[in-house]
Amino acid sequence: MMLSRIEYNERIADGVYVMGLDAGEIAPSARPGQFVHVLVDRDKYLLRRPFSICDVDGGTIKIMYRVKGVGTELMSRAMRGESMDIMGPLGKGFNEVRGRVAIVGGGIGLAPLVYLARRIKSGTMFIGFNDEPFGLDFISNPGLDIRVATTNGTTGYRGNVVDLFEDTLSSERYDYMYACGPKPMIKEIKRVCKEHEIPGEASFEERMGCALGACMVCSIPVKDGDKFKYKRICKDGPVFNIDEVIFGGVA
Amino acid sequence: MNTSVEISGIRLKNPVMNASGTFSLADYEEYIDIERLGAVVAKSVTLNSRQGNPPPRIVETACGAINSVGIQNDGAENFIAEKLPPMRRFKVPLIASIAGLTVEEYGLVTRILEKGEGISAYEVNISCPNMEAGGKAFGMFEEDTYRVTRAVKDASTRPVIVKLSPNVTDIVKIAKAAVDGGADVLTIANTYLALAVDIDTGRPVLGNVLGGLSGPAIKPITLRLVYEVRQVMDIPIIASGGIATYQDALEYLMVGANAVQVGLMNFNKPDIMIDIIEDIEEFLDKKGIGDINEFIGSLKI
Ligand SMILES: Cc1cc2nc3c(=O)[nH]c(=O)nc-3n(C[C@H](O)[C@H](O)[C@H](O)COP(=O)(O)OP(=O)(O)OC[C@H]3O[C@@H](n4cnc5c(N)ncnc54)[C@H](O)[C@@H]3O)c2cc1C
Ligand SMILES: Cc1cc2nc3c(=O)[nH]c(=O)nc-3n(C[C@H](O)[C@H](O)[C@H](O)COP(=O)(O)O)c2cc1C
Repeated sequence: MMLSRIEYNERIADGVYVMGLDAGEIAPSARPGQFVHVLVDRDKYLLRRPFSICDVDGGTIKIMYRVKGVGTELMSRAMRGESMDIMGPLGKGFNEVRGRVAIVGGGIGLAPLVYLARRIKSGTMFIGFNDEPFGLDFISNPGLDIRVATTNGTTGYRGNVVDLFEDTLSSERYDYMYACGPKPMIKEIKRVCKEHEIPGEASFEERMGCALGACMVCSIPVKDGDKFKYKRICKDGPVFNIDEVIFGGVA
Repeated sequence: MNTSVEISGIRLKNPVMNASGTFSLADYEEYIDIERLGAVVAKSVTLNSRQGNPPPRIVETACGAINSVGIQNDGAENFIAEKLPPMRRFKVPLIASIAGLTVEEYGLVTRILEKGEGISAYEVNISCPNMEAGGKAFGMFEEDTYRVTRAVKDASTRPVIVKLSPNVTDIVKIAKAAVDGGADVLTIANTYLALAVDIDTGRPVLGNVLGGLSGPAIKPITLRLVYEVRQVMDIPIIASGGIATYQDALEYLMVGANAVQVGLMNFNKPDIMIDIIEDIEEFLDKKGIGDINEFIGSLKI
């Protein structure tokens, strides 16, 4: 863990912020899809909050977060020059593969995809928002085509990003797929990928304890033959093969 | 200055260790100097591997958290074969933790752990649901506490530490049942049965509905339990409940605990146990106390 100085903490959309943290020990080894475990307030909120590493710029790591509850609310009020206690980089990130890739994200699910999007050679990013898109200007990659869907149709495709992705597959071919977003959305993406025989992986969330692999709190059910077993989001993930993860209830 | 304590023949360089299920050597060694700890307690193991409870398994509450991991573990044989050997790399006493769903299982797990080298003692987690009697924790009843302790003791060549459940009306009665069953040491205590509700979804937050509350919120209550047992018994006590600072640890020691465990707060700061050890030393130094054993049980009423 280390104290890391806040370089900026800017609101980029309603309830969405981007924070830059001076983290010279974390940035150089951080891979797309890994996360940091953030202590928001040592005394008030005992559990750390996990956030994907949205991007890396020299010794700075960037996190993009949506204000959800008490912790992120407090973070949104943190000022430049203050310090945050963070641990990382943690977890296993995305497997970076060759070929033409599709990146599919929804809302704040964009967070772990930004760094990834910067690294890939060629492909398309499908990204969905409820209304105003945000954060797209963080991605600059001439090899990547960015297509936006909005539920209310103000920008780009009107409707769900998974539908946009599915429509596209009738005329385009991808070798691999990366996703991040709400679990029901990833479940739909999995169905689409299965139909089109596209392998892929996604970043998942669960409430976490230690984030180091010890406490067995952030468990996610995965297939184990015809049974299931729990894996740890923090150490075995947060990125898992979409085929492996079980969506919905287990025994 | 002497900070070392002895518990049932085991010499600890200081009285601070982790609580079961909140720490592991392999995952924490990058963050904390393991060999500075008084001892290390492993995650509880059952006879067969267990999946544990459905997620979510933790919810933050005021000054604490409720967890419902449900003893997810790979079983006792796996512990001996895979987990234990790398743990022996460290010069620190290792305490294995035994769990079970029947009285018989506790004995069987103990027999398996007896094959493992380098274990200094067993801690018996009696807060597991008794599957032969309605699913309430063994530790809630004198008779079950006695029988589980006996089952472990009869199979054991090592000191037996019984970790009591705090969800009882009279902790002293349960403590006595454990001692009658052959307990050499008591750990006081496990987590408090608790519930959190999501008022937006109208459902419990935890996948298992109920969980166990731990963290600073419980410290004064568990401190009272340690106090009650110490008033009437001489057995070595390890305190577990809400320790976040050296002051918390010292309160427990003053009341008569011989050692302390840190649980939830390892999640907050992975090297918090080192802070606590150093701050205890500084405190004793300032007070001119040359031996921690003089401080233990020094509470004046
Ligand atoms: C690996 C990983 C990466 C993540 N990356 C991002 C990101 O880049 N941007 C972003 O906005 N959010 C991200 N999240 C979700 C983020 O951790 C939660 O939104 C945040 O913890 C909420 O904290 P809070 O105090 O504001 O909310 P509260 O609801 O007040 O939190 C209460 C407790 O529940 C936990 N919690 C609540 N929701 C979640 C959740 N969805 N996942 C995990 N824990 C939760 C909190 O950590 C806290 O312990 C990620 C989660 C995981 C597991
Ligand atoms: C995530 C988590 C997992 C736990 N797992 C175990 C366990 O496997 N066996 C056990 O005896 N106690 C277990 N406990 C209880 C702790 O060891 C400890 O007794 C309790 O949390 C009170 O201490 P604390 O307030 O310092 O956390 C667990 C606690 C937590 C928070």
